[in-house]
Amino acid sequence: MNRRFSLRPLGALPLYLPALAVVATVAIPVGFVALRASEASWADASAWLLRSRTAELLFNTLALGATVVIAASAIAFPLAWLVTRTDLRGRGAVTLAAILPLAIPGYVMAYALRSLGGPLGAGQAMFGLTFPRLDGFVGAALALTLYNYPYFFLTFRAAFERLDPAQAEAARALGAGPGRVLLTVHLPRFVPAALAGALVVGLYVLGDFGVVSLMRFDTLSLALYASWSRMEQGSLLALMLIGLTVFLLLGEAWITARRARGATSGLGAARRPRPVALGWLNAPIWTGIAALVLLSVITPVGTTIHWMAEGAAHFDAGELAAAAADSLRAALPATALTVALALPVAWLARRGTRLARIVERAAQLGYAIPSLALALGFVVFALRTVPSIRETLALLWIAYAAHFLMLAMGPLRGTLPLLSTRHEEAARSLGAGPLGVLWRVTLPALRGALAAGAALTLLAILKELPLAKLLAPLDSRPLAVSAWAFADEALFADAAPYALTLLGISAFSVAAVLRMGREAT
Amino acid sequence: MFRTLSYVGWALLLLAGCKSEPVEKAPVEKAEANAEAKAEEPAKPGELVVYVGRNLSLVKPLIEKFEKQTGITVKTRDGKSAELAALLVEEGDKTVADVFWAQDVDSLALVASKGLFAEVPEGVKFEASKLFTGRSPHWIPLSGRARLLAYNPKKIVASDLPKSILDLADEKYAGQVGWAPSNASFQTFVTALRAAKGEAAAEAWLRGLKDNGAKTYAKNTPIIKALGAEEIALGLPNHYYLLRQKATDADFPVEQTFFADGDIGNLINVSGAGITKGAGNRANAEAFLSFLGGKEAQQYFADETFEYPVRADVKGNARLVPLADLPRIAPELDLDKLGDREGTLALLQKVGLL
Repeated sequence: MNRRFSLRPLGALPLYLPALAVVATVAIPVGFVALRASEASWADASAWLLRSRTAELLFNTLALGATVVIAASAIAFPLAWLVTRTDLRGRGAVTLAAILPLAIPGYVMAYALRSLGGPLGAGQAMFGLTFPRLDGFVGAALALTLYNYPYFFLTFRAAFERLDPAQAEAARALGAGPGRVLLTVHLPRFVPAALAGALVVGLYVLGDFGVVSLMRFDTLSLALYASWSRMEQGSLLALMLIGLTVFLLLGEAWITARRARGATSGLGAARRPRPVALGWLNAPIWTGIAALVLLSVITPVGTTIHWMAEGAAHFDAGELAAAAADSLRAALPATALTVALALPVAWLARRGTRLARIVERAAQLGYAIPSLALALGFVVFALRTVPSIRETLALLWIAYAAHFLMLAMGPLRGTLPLLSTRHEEAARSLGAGPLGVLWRVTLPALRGALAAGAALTLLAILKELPLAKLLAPLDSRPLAVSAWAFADEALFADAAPYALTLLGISAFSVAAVLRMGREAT
Repeated sequence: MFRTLSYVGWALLLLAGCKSEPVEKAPVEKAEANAEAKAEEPAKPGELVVYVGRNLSLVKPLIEKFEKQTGITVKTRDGKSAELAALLVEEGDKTVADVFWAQDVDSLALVASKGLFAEVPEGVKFEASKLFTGRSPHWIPLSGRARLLAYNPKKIVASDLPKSILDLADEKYAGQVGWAPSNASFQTFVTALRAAKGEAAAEAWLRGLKDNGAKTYAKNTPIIKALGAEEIALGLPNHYYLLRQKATDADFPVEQTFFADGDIGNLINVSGAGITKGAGNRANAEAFLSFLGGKEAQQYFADETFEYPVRADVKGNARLVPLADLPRIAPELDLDKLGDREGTLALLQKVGLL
């Protein structure tokens, strides 16, 4: 029996058009980088890329990426299980606390963690304990893990929620022990979610500069950051990162292809199993959660509040409100656009056609392109084609969609393979058109994943810096830019109100988006 | 798959004709000669677009004062000077920017080298103290920032402080120094070091400090913080970060001092501004530069941003070493030699710091 039902090409056009638009949009910055890189002579290019320092930085980058991916998933998996499969109290609050770190700008996390250790650190001042000073590889890995684990948490959580307990029950009935059920029935269902999370987090680490530079750990982004006044060098490095991404994507495709695909018996069967009673485990679990929240949320937020208290913050309420409005004007439409594009792309990707694969890869590349290159690529393209768009928000929205599409797709990618196509086939055989099937059958099953994708995208956009700085219209100055500009000049007391407003708006909008997702399911 | 993508990208970009054209060093238009007269007249109200490579909040009161005095509406885009310079280079003559106000000479020099600045008309130029005058016709200096030595007195006694920045490679200071090789101000210092002592000496110093266990920080602020936390004893920042820190926390346990008179470590960096060739609001741009070079704005730099004014007839900040002493303290150097960031980046890359 063939699972992949075919679409009449014309009926599916509304799905293909956005997908093709995505490919074209991502091609702009990739093409820009390729062109600028091609301006370097072959000898210069090879001397630059093949020097031993580049190898050293590449090794540092990969080691950091792998460590963060492993550590973040190790935190996120049990946490996602706790909030979906157990009788843990306050699951809503824990869920929110496990997403909030996404709202925290990397540099705030780095400053906060660094202020904890050492003989004069906050740990000494508050508890009389001298922690080792967080620095280098360990410091960078910890900071990046603490605000990136939510990506894994959200994709795992979405996968848990769609997990059909019937299979596990069948396995148990056939005599498999709990351990075997976990290994042979549950874990394989998490491979798509794990891969989606690993891509997002891994690529983020490749591009991070804020945290690694403050933690004094040199990665490729250091060389990248320092080379933009020699555009061809920066572009060569950007191309290298893109190549690395392609390599990772091929690896992911290879794993996915080797894995036996399975589908649940149907959408309706994804019922909630009886929650696991935690009993005496409550105490150690809550200790762990408390430690995690202390490090990942309370420490950075507390540091920001401390900044605010440090000096008489003479901020202007009007400017703060204007910055908040700028943030929302940039982020809300861009999030809507990104999610609207993510759905057809993820949906096509499931169908596994060649075009679908290209479109999905394009979205992933868009995330991997260093954002400064992305911004300049869009500026150049806009000025040469439709100059009037240069100073409008539309250009920023498009760039955000190209950059963060992969985030919106993450939860969808984790969930879609778990859905059987049978209901869709049934709907088709009853005469529904492809769009009708999407709207009435597929979409309702995906609301939770869509909401999670929207939350991820929104948070990422709210704290994004390079695109906001270079692409936002004149006089537009979102919260993240204001906060960073102050902190960069050591004016922490002035930065604090902007950073706190950013955190507040982020927390509020995530809660709202997640509520939308929950009500829908 | 990637190949398909890049073909599409090439096709799109070639279609758009985005291949960068060779830079033309077009002769300065004659129209500019008349600008001199214009600059003295009160500017016509209208708009002005400024790319601000400095912290916008620090200079915003100044911009607002200009708007009030002239009736001109100033629109801004702010960011790091190097980023904005890269943006200007890509935007070329299609930029909306009338003025680029940068934090460092390197960024100004990059934009000037691509032929994107118009010459600053004579009427806009003003009497800058000798220390700040360069020969570049394309931008004017606006404020000074000194490089110096910051230290934690608990970690090192004043008598042990080095007389020259070159001494920091000495074994005596092993593991005690914090620096920021990726920071633009530090890179300008390296450019100056290369110009003053030669390529080989600069390389030897960088290697010496690296081998001496100098700790790398991202930028000036973390260096000051690390000094306060006793992570390091000595640091190489710009002069005003510590002053800002002390403005909120008077007991912050870090001090700073210049090296011996004339030492290259006491480099005075300048911020400056130029007018773009494609400026649509040229008269307003000239009025803005005149305003920034004027007494009122120069006094603002001294009082509010803890910088050195570039005019000799403005009173310096009492917390700074007097302006009159600067020529004695600062190394003798031609500002025009400070534009070669490429060579500095190449050296830093060669030494393995970037």
